[in-house]
Amino acid sequence: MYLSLVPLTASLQIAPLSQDLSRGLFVTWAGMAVVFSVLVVLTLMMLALGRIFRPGPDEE
Amino acid sequence: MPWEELLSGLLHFTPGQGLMMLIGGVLIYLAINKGAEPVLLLPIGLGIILANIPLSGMHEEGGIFWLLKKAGLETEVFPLFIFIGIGAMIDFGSLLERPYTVLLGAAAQFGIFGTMLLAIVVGFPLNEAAAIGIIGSADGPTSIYVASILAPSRLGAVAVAAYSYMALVPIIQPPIMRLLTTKAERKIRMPTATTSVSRTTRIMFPIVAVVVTGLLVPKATPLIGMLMFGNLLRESGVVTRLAHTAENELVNIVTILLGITVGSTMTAATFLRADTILIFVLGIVAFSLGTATGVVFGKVMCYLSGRRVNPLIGAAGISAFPMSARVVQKVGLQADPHNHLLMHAVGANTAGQIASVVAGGALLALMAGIL
Repeated sequence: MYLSLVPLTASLQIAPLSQDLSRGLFVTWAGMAVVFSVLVVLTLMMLALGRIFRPGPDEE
Repeated sequence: MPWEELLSGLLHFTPGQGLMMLIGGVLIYLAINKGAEPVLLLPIGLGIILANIPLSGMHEEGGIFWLLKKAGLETEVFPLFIFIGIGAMIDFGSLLERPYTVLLGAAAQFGIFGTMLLAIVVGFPLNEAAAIGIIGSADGPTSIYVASILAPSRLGAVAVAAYSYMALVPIIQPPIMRLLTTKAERKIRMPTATTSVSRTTRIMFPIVAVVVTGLLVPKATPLIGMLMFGNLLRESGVVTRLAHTAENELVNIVTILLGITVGSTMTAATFLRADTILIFVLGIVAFSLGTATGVVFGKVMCYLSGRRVNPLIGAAGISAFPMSARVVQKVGLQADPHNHLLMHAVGANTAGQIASVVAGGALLALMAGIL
């Protein structure tokens, strides 16, 4: 049985993303990447601060 | 005719302004009778009523609302001053004892970006969609700061949505938390922190946070700078009077001015639009999405840590300090009356405060590059 792939693929074609949506997707992944990167660095800094400046006997 | 001059207010009064006054009245009612974020909703409510009195001259050049908007909102000074006070109120000790909770704060910020995408899908332009998305930071001053830069015409709706939903956190969050966790997960007990934090670490943290965040996301510097300035006042221990002023007098005065100024931006012409309702719908989506992604990330941490992390604490990553931490404690106690998650949730909650500021800065930086 002959099945034309042309109309099938045409029917599955997703409408092109609007400019705002494609920009929004970029802002989303870039924004989340920035948030995680900054907070991972902050976590490392907190761990380092905790190691370097240990509480004195009166702070335990 | 002289009587026309006397009755000019009534002659120019429109049904839209009447409806706005009703909305202002509802906010005042909610603030007084239901205790819903009264500190902000009460001044906003009266601001709305005043803003919709025709011919008052308050919005015209030289008028009080013109002046407050010019000096406090357009310069972004009001939200930044509030951040000094918030910084002076926050104890980052729980976060410093459990640094890993920072990641929960990061995950919950997806509420901002996911809602922004939804807002674009329903037809808002990119800048307005980003201003709507910031409601998901669950952080009033950050929402006002970002919205006043990206979409000043939407400021009123964004601010009211942000503060209204913050008051509704105890209603919005628990069903989502229960839906995404099993009872066994909600019962997970977390070890109490064994390490204490030195005074030097507490003093160094705000300085390090400002430098790290400022260098990586310069647009977040005003917000994180003021937040950590307030925290340094608190932790230094040598300027008790200043810390006290920051967390009391300063924050109280600016809250009064900020509330009434935000309310004054809500005139019938700017607020009574069909898409304002959409902003409120998207606002609740933002809070829900942030809560959901925080809990899901909590589940990932739970799995990776060998069930040492209760996923409920992820819900506190949305900021909304300190309500969401209290909600986590309450939902945890419902599953196991002896399971106290409060201090862990406070860690995630303060992380959410920092994360929302970083997300706001990232949003501004990325939008500045695009628009």
